[in-house]
Amino acid sequence: MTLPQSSTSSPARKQSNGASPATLGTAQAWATALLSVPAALASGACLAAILPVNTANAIFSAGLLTPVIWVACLVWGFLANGLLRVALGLGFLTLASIAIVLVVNLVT
Amino acid sequence: MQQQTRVRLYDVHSWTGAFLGLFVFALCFTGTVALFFNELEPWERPAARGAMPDRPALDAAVAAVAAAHGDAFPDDFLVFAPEPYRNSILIGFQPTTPGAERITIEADPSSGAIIGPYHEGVGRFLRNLHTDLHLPSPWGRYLVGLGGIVMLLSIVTGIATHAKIIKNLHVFRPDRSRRLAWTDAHNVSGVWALPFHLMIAFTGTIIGLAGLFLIPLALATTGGDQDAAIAAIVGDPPQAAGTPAVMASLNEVLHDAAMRMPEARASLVDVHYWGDANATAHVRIEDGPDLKHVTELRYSLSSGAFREAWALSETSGGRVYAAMTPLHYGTFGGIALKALYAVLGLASSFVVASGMVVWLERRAQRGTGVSQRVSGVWVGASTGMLLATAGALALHHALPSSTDRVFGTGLTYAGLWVLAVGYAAWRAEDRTALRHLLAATAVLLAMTPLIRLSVEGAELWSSSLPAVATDMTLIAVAIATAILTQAIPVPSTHEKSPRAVSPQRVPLTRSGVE
Repeated sequence: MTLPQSSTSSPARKQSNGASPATLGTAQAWATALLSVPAALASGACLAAILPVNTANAIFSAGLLTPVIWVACLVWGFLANGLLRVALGLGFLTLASIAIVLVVNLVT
Repeated sequence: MQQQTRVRLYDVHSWTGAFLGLFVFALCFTGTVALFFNELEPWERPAARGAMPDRPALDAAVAAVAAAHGDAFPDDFLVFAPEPYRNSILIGFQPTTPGAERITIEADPSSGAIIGPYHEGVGRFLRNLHTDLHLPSPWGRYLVGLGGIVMLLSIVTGIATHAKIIKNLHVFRPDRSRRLAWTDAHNVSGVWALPFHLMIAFTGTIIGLAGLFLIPLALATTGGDQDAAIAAIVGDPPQAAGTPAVMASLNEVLHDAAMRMPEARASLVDVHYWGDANATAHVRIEDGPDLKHVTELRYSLSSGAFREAWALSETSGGRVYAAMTPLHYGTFGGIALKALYAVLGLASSFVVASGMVVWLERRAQRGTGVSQRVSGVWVGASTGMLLATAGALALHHALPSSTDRVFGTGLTYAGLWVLAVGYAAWRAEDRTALRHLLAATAVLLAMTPLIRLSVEGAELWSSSLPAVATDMTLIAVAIATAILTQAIPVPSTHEKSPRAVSPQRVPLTRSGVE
């Protein structure tokens, strides 16, 4: 990658109020790292519940996709704009996935 | 991609490496050496050498072990047939005695007579360090799987950070600044071996975290019943009939399995309900010429009849999953593929190590408080693993008994690693510490064949071929390490340290290249 600006003079790091918009907050980093775990596991379970294949294939497919979802959650969380958005986004993904699993299990 | 996004991804890439780089480096390096844990066995243990008999005496070995352990011998056990690199029979079981630990007994392949308890050597020590960190199951494996997630995250953010990734394939400027040389080396080794890095991180994650993933997946598909989820994959487990029966010959079962799949290796017999009318033997076929990792040929032990062939790759999802383990360990292409894996594994280790050096150099140039001592600790912690591995190999044959070797390997490894970290921190000059630690590694590696030959009292060429090949490889690696040591520039007393340069005078960029 070639960024023309030096880190000490990068426009991305300059704001009128002196804040560093490109800097990832420690709280947000930790929140992302921790909340991505249930989000990824619940999403994987949700996939396994809704995939229209037999049980073995559902487990295999969802198991193979879970790490991909996990890394996607991490990248999204680190790029998200603020701690609150991370908490809401990953929390919603977790709860929505669990809800879908429960509904599918009740229906079938 | 917006510059702000790229800067933040760069931060994630950097800090992930800074916090967890040593852990990922340890996984990469131990995994590289552990590729050869099977091939190391004849070098480690004279009992493992020799030509395999056509029909190993599995029945006699089981009878001898059962007689030796009496009522403590269970009806479920594993029989490991001789392999190209281990000419002995292993029988592993969990004694029925309460509180007893799982044990493995080694037996002669021709007579079945007990040789003694099987003790792991350096290769298996490093393999267990790589797969479980020597922590209780399953926590060690989960931690290693998390290391795979960290590696995947580093790779994804690293790719996203580098806009001109193709340019990185051929940009290497060792004549420019030290930081730039390390940055180029990091990028070149990272980009050239990128498919391997991605594959090894993904397969490692799947292997490490499969057990963790199964819990929510079982909850979703079988109402939380993990046994039912496993049964959906591998079939229903056998049930005991409760009536005793005469057992068929395991020798014949193994021979029949070898005839049915001559292109693969029938290596492991998983026995259930030994002595029962419903007793079964699942002969596991491994290391075949393709990516089907687990194939089982299932036999009835009361009649000796072949019942069914089962493969993990019978379903489409299973076909992909079955490829994970052979892909990760490079077991599907012979020793040449393993050698390629070793080179690429060293590249993975180097990417992590060089990335950490770049991070330290960059922070030092910015004047953000990274001292030479911190750099020294990193050099000691990473190079210390090379030294510790060489030391464990060197001392292996010097220890008097196999029991001593089990503890000796761990103590040597941990002790040398701590010494390396302490020494590098004390030197407080990373290049000097690196030179000294690599030189010590080269000396230990060169001494290792001599120690083996002096202890075993054998001429170099009269040992088994794998043992001699291992000696030759160790000497070659020692020479390569010595050459590498010489290539590292000696810091001059007149040289202006990069850390002495004012941060205002150093043009810094956020790029991985410039």
